[in-house]
Amino acid sequence: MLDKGIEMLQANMRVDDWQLRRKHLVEHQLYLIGTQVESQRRAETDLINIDVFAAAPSDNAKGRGTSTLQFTPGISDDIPERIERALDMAALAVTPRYELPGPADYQAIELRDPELAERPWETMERWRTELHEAIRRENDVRLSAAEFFVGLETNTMLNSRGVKGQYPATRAFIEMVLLAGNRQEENENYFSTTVRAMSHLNLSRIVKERATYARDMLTAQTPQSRTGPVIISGRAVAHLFDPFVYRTNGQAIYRKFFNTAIGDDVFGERAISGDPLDIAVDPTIPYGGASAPFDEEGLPLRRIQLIKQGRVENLMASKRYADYLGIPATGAATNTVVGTGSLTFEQLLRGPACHIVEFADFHADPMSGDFVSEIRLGYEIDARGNATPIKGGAVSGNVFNAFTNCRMSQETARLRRYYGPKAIRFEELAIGGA
Amino acid sequence: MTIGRNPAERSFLRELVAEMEHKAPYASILINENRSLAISSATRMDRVNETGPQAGAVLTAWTGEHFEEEVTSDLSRDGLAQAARNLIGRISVKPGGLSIDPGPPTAADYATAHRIDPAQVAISDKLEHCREMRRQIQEADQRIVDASCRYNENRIKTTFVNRNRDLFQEITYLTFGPMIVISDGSTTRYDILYNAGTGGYELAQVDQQEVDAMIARIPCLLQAKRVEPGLYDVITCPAASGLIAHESFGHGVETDMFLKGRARAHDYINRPVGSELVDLYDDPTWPAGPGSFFFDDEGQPASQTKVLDKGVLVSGLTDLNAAMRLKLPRTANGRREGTGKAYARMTNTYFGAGSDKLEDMIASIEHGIYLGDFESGMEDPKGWGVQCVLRWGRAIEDGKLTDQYFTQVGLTGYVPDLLGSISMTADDIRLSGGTCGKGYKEWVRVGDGGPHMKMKARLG
Repeated sequence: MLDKGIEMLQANMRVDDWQLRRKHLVEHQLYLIGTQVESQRRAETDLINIDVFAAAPSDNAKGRGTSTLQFTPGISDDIPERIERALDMAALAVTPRYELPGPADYQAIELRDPELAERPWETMERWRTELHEAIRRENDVRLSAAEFFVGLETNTMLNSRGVKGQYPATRAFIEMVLLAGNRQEENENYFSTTVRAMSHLNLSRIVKERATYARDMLTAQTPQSRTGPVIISGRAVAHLFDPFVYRTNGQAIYRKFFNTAIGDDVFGERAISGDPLDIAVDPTIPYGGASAPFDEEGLPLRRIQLIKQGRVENLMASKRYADYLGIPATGAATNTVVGTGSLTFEQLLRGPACHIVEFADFHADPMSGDFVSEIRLGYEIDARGNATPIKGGAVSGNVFNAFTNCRMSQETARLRRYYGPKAIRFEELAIGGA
Repeated sequence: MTIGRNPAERSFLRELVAEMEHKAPYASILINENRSLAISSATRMDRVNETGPQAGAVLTAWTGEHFEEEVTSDLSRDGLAQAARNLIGRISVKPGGLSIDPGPPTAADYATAHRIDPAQVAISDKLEHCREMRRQIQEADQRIVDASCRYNENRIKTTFVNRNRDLFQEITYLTFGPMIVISDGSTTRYDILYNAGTGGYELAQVDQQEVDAMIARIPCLLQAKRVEPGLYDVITCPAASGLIAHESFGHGVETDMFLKGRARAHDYINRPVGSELVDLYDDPTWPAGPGSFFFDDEGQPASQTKVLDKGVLVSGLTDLNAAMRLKLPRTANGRREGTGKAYARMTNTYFGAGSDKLEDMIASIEHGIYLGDFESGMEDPKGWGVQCVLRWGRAIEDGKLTDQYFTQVGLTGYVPDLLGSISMTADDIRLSGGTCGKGYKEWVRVGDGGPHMKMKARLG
């Protein structure tokens, strides 16, 4: 069917260019409630997206229209009509012309774990056993529910300029909820992660940490309102860097959200103390959460240093926005790699301070850098290093201010597509509590 | 396979269910297909994309102990038959297990009502409509660095077949609205308006007064501060009320969470959890509601569920599994993201209207904050915590709204304290559209809403 579709695209005189992306996914899923199986599923899906570029009727050198048609093999027998319709729509919205990438040599990246790819059911059964054994070793904790997904995807990229690429990748998703306490006073801890290799998952270690969190939730109190030192660790750390990465995004610059230029200081005229900020994107990390040999336009991906010592070193742009801005095309954002800091994790925790290990749902606004999030679990650390659990209330701030006075840990964390310091200490953040 | 009203294909699906039930005590097939048209006009670029059909089938078999499902995007007869063989081939039936009621015999076809059929409006006219809105706001203020207007049209066809049920629905879901990115050279923020619902092209509009208000608050948002953390008298706009309804108690009464021991509400049925002014509903039959449908993804006909009655928790929201295991009445809340797993999920969730007037509510506050449009939220059904992030808040001083704005306002608290503090509810109920995840995945379309409400809330 794919070959037939490509023949149709090549034969259509109205098609100026085209690019095709196909994703075939086979996923196995296991759902548990307590020790019992709730559901088992196997899903096989196949989806093709084709961008067609229609020559502009007036001046093809300056602009042309683009539209995307999407179909599922097996249900679409009207491809020629769909191509014509997409071309009609493309002609409605002519945009400045940019050239599609041509053929390139793609770097081989390890993304397919044979164990996950070839033995999904057995893998999930082994995780199930490991999970129950790890929980049995913990006091006063039980499993509420868990979900395991193991998938093998095959990504294909073709275009009219000769781009031809394909890579397989495995992906596993694990979600679990632990309960601590009794029916009168019970609390939960939620955990989820996505990995691409078996070796990246240590269920025993995760259960040990999460069981502690669940038990600590039982005695946690609302913190006092104040402004002061706050250490953030856990999954929120990854999101703290999103506004910095977005400032280097070619599309955002083209749309005038920001006027970022190479050499700019990301903190503007603010005075800086503490650790410098280094951010790169790296698609080549073996089994990295966002690793890939090429992006959705077929551009070969490579490591790009975006920010070095707080200054913009490179901008990040797809082929479209790179051509519009007259800058090199880097391809899409991949894994975010952040430089480590000067202190150990233990040194960062020097009291008095507040250490937040979990927020309800942490995001920093990519435009302004503002953030606010409810504390799901944290610890008040006193001058002697004693830690008392806290929950409730919120931490708020702005990343562009907060990072001017921060320290990052020497120890690193791998959080899906983030590779960087495990924890960050900010000297002045607002806590809204009791 | 044609998804829809083709009797021969529907007959084939029924035969396939019968074949699966030779081994499984219960079987069903759900097929859905999604086609969408996305149009946007922005300052520097217009886009028109028609995507789909993205389609798939979920074949379900109950073993007497647990569910087994096979999902395929190959909707040919051979593809579906192969998926059924795969499924039946791997299950082991447990004799004497729980049994599933397939419901009374029902055969029906449904479609979203509309005043203007979107299919009858030319795509070029839809694009021009977006361009007009974009031009209007672009020219209103020089601090707008990017203006855009988006139109999205989704047509979702769903077929559900089990031993007794043979159902088909075609839902048309529309969103329309402008977005602005504003900057004074040092600060960049954005603001957005949109209308969302199930219906026709008549939904492709936003209230001009709201557009004017969005333009008028540009200088205020660029000068906006962060709110001083503390406990405030607040008035929530209908969208903010809806976010609180959704995060505070909507998720907490999804009864799959009861099964997992994750919802404190399980122990509070028929007990008070909020002020007597609080009624809370979940209703997939709300006319033109963003989360409206005719039957859920497990074949349950849509109907209204009253969750809170005068502050007392009276009912949860069930999917097939939770209703069967907990012996609760089935409500129309078994929903899937596409062909994903079914969970108990909200539809249109809203606080009931009261009788107060907004102007009286504002006048009753000496020092407080009016909370504007929502940004995001997160539930905590076990701890009864809540997180709501509002895009902006506006100071109220001496009973009057001021021009002091706050951005990224976080509302947190203990749910019974928050709902117990509700002291006034207006008569102006309204629903907003959005998407809702179960944890961090399984996104479904929902509506949230309520009237303006006065309460005490911890902000930060």
